[in-house]
Amino acid sequence: MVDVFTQFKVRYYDSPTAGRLALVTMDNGADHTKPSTFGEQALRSLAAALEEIEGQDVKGLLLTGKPFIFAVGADLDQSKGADEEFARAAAQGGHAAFRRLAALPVPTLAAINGAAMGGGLEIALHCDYRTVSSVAAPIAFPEVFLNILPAWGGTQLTPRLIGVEKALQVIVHNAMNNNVTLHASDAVALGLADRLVDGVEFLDKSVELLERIVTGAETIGRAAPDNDNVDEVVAKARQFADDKVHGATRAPYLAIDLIEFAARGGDLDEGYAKEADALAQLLPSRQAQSAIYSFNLTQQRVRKQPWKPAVQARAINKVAVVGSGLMGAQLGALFLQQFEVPLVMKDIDDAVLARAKEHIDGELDKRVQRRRLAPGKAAFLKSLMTYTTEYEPLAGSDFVIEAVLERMNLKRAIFADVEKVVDEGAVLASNTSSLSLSQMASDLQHPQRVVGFHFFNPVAVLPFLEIVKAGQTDDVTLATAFEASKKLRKSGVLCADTPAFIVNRLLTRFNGAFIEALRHGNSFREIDAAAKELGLPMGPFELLGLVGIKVAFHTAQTLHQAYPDRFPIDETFARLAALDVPGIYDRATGEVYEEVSAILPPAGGEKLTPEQIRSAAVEATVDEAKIMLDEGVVADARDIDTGLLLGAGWPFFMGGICMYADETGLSEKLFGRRLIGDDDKAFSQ
Amino acid sequence: MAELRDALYIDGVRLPIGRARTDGYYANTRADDMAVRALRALLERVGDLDPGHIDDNVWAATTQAGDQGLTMGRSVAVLAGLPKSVPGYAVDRMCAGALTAITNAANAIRVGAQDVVVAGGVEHMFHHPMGSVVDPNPRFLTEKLVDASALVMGNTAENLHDEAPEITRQDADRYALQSQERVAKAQADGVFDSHVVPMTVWTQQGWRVVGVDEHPRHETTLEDLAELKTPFRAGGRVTAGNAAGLNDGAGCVLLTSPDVARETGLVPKMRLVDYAFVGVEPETMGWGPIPATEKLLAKTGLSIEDIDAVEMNEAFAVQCVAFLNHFGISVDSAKVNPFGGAIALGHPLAMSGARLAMQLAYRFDTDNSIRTGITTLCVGLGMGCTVLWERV
Repeated sequence: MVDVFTQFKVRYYDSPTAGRLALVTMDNGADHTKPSTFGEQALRSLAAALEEIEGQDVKGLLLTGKPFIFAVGADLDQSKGADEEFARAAAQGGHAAFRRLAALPVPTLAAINGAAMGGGLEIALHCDYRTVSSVAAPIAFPEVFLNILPAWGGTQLTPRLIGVEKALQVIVHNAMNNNVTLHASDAVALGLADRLVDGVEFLDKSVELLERIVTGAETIGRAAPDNDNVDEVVAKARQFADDKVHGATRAPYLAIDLIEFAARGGDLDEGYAKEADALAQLLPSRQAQSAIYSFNLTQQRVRKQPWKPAVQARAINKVAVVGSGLMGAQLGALFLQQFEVPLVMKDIDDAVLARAKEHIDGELDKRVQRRRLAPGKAAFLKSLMTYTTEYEPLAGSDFVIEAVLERMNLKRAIFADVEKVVDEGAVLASNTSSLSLSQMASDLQHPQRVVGFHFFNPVAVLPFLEIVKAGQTDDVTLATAFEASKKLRKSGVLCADTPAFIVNRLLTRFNGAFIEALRHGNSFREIDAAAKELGLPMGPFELLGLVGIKVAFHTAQTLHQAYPDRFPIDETFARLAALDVPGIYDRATGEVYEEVSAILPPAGGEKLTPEQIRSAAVEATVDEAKIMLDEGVVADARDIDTGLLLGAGWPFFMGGICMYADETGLSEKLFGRRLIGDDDKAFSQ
Repeated sequence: MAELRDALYIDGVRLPIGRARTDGYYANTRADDMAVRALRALLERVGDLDPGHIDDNVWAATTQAGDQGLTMGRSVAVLAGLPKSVPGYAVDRMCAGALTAITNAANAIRVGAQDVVVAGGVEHMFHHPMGSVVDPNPRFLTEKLVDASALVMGNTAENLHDEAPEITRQDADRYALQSQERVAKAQADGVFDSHVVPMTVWTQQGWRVVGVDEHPRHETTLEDLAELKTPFRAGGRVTAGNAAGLNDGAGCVLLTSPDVARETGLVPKMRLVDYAFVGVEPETMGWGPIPATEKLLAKTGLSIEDIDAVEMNEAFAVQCVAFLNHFGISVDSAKVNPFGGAIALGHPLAMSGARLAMQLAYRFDTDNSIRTGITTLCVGLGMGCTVLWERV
């Protein structure tokens, strides 16, 4: 591969009004699909460009990016395996280069023409003025999301420019809220940029503005940054970080400290030095390295669909959903909106169908109300729907998915009935969370068309899908399933036809250790708190309320039947499932339901420490992951981590279970080697 | 028949003309983006006009494909961010594209159908070399409808020299040199600043601002010109030096009715009085401006002496000298192309008619003695056209 790096390309414009202006373009020579990033070579190029410009009689400087991209910050590839020395040098190298730009004696204007992330935004902050194109997106400081921090002046310049509260918003809160990014208009409203300029002639107008600034025809006014409420907003930010990561990663806390330092009038040189220290601490950390890994898995690797067979998928021009209950109705709404093809909802019960129609119509109406969908288009989509108790209307379907009760005989009967009306290439998918696809397909005339297509609840929100290849599933069926997953905007991972597939199997093993802790007398709340210190957004018992105790118990039973030794049925769990409560905690009061407390076993022995609870759960899960890899449930350890990141919402800085075990040394201790190999087997199989 | 209204020329804007080459100004810039830039710059100048009041957006391009496809007038209106209620269309009369856009626009105003019309032309000859997507009907040649030379503009200029043997290679070169000198002076005097706007363009070496016409060669001498090859005929007379260049450019003008000009306070620079299009032999298309101008003069009862200012496209020096000789105007007369022409500035085919109007408007603006003027061009496949303008 050709070594791509960002160059700072200088051209001059002899403006009739302002005199000689330097136009500096950040360009890595590739198209917009490879955004310009900053590594060592880029910083050298910047220094060379400034050297040249300093020697010219230049009246002003405009900094911009190649088409569609301003710059997206540090080169993440260079951060992989970074040590303290590298991290410190990287921070200091950026500081030196950017501050040289800031020190130019002439007006400098950053024309943010497109994506500006992290270091891209930081170099813009080192210019005197900023314009932003109305179509520039995304604009963000994603560093804290990756468990590092803006270390090229971002933590120091942002509060000085826009005040502590807004600085915390863009650097800490947005990053930790699933990496929320800014629109151009937000950037101007926040004060990150001085002018919003129509994208159609963005650079022409930015050059004109620079000319007017140079000639003095225009001055840019700015409100003084509001740094009066530092105590309050900093405390709020720390609380927010606690709620999100429970102290499991240092990044947000260090970022808050540095922003606070700047907001309280800290010395700029000292602030930059603190940034370098912080990066040296964070970048080599397990959390940052895991986050970079997670980012790659979920944003790049899974989208490449390495598991998809290289055959032509079947075109999907008609879809059917059999079983129109809660899950079926969600699937119907999703398929209708993403495929926009005729869709049949089948059920045995008219009342269930009526509720499904209500749900699907409601989803469309909601989008119409939010102006995301034209009323006429919504009406058209509704006209594509058929609600029926018969099988005949399924004829001509290319993709049929069943979402009926988890009973093998029922599913087999339904597939047999569906097979009578669809042609032999139509894909029959099952949303089962734990039943065997091979068994489900065994009596069919064309069993090769059966595939598992396991969604995670709520379907509209969770991006993950387990695509299950049964013994007889053929390549076209599998390719069609992967295509469908892409069209549904889900991240599908391939999995073998094994009990409870990937995520539920691991979570059940994980939860087994927490349920076990109940017997030691630990309270639900203690256990949840212990688990959350791993950085999980929810404790296992909080999660149970979301998933449903009965559903979780059903999965536990399936796994118990398959692997009784590792998945014992805990009596407490069985009694919990027998209760008719929606969860452990009453949503209204936050208290544990009385009936739940009543069935708790008498405490035996000593309570476990939070550390003991966590390590038992982690070790059990690592053990299960290793067994799954040995059994070939997935092709690669990365597949397991992808599932936990996307299907279970595990935080990026944990990196899933395999990365966590590798980075903490647990893999080495248990197996004498890391679980994640250099070779990605999903690609090399 | 109802009385015709006046069609008023309010203002015009063009981009600097670039050379149609890999390292030319616009090699990496789309033609439609160039048109958008010109259109928005024009509307910015006439800031009092609500863009929603534009009744039509007429754009000419000789090649109507690729970045000059999709009905340019309409696509440029959408790309420029005009209200979606503003319609547009595309026209083609090769070199007279923008001039035809202007006469169309003017007519819509004159008959009272429309009040505010933008007329422009764009040609990206680097993206669309002449004839590149053309498939001439074989009957042209098999049935001898035209001679093969009629399809190559340089050959028609050699043919014109044949028919006007008194015009020598040296005459043509002298005219070309005069064009270069006049453009150099006009640039120094800031004449083009009145209607040329810069554009920021993408290059492999980063963004750059282009603000000055790229084509002129100020250093040109008669000796240089004399050394140039004659690519169309061995021992011929037509060279790259005494012909217009291959160029990229975009420009447009705003025409309105008198009512709208009054209501919005826009000050017209001139009004379109009448015009004439004619056909001539395709093999000598350079004669075109002569019969077109004669026809117009005859229609309006004017003589060439009544015309104070001529802006003529310079496709070839021989065509210009032939025109001047026909009307008995001296080659160095300040009446014709005092700021030079396409030989020095370049000729992005369909755009040039708009440039002529802009330069004539500048003359009305800066020289009170001028009462009437014409813009005139020759056109491929044997046509000529002339438009008569008058001080308001």
